[in-house]
Amino acid sequence: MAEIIAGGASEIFDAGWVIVGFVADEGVVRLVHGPNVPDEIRADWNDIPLDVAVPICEVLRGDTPRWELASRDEFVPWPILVAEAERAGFSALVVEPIVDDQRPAAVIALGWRDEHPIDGEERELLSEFADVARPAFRRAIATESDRHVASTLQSWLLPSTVPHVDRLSLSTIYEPGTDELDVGGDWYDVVVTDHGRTAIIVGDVVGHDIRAAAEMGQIRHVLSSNLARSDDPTDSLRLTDRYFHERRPDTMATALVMVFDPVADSLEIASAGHPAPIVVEPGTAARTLDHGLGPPIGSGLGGYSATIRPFPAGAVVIGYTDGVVERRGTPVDRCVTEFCRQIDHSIATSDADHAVPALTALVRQRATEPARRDDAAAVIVQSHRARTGT
Amino acid sequence: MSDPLPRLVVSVHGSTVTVAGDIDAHSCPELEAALEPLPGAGDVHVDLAGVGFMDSSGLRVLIGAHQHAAAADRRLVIGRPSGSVLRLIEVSGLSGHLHVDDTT
Repeated sequence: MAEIIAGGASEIFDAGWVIVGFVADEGVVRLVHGPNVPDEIRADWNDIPLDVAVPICEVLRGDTPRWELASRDEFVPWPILVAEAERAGFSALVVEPIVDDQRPAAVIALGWRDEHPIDGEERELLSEFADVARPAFRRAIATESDRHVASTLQSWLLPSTVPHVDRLSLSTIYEPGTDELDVGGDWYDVVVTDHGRTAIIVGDVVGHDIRAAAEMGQIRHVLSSNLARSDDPTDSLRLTDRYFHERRPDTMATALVMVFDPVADSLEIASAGHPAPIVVEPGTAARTLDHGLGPPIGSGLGGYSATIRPFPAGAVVIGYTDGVVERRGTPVDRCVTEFCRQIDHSIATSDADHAVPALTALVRQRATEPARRDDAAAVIVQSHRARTGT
Repeated sequence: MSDPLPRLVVSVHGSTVTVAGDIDAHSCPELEAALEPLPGAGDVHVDLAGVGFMDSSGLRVLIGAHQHAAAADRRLVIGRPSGSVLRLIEVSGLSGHLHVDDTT
């Protein structure tokens, strides 16, 4: 939004370059540059503290209603401005507030290479432009602050550490989304059950907002708590589904649960509408694993089932959310096939018995590609032989 | 940035809800509004022939309506889903739960 306003102002006041500034975070001013801003300024003026002694911050703080500085002589009260004007080559500056609720919500700053006294007509046009920009700005700032709160909440609601588990190498990944409007409710968790097995969970709450992030925290804990006590993925999913359907009928999430049994060398797998995990057994190619597939958590439909599969030493399993595999414009099945090929390549070109670091790098890279917009979570697990004598 | 074209058109005739466009997090409230309360009497038919794309937000709405219908001794029938919508229903573990009719 700020980009559009900066671009629009650039065209209307064609002599100038334009920077739009607003308080993005407590005490931090975010500067968004229009198309003609000199590189010297673009590189160094992005997020700046609100208390910096420059006209933009003065107007944002409400110390001065607006500034019109028609020549460099008028820059003198601000040493930083004098230095920047010298470096980037501008000689006139106007800072116009976008006033909302009697406070400056944002500023539009225009710079000119040459001296530029503002006349009445231009002043009026600038003031009208600020009026027109106000509602758009109100929305943009609300979105920005929502996104900030949601991504902070999301990171607090994920486990800060996962337990160390004998015989398993474990890696967990979370990457936030790239779309400025999207905050997801993806999660992972690893819980050692009361029966000494290890439950590995990946999930995805439907929705992309603060509510999704908050619901994620609740679902993660209820499901993990059920798993820790009951040790039974089917039963845990059934109880969690019922709990949320009864109390929060609007909440829905998919989840994959894999319980590693160190005695039987097996994985018990159950899914609540979640994408199938990918498994690589020693000497075989990566493939998606058949698993008990039931409806999403919160649907209230129940009917979960689990599949038990061997998980021998050296085997790898990857549980993931859509954001790791999906690419805009490519069918999901083809994305999964491509992901499997990359996994095979990664294992073939690294230490096959210690594949987790290379696979983590691969998943991280996929999860941060520009073609993706959703958030992404994954758990990568490799089983190892019991150490001799233990 | 907002899309200038309407992305979802939902029309209700009796107990039939006809949907055209993409169903995602931004557009699904329109479908939700048409299904709550459930329209008409008897089975509710949701015709998805005009829906090219639907994501899990749309599924959430359909499951909610399915449950409301079941509680009222009615059925929610999903009509003429596209291949990708049908696939989403399958991979979400809902094939045995939602009533799908792709013959009408």
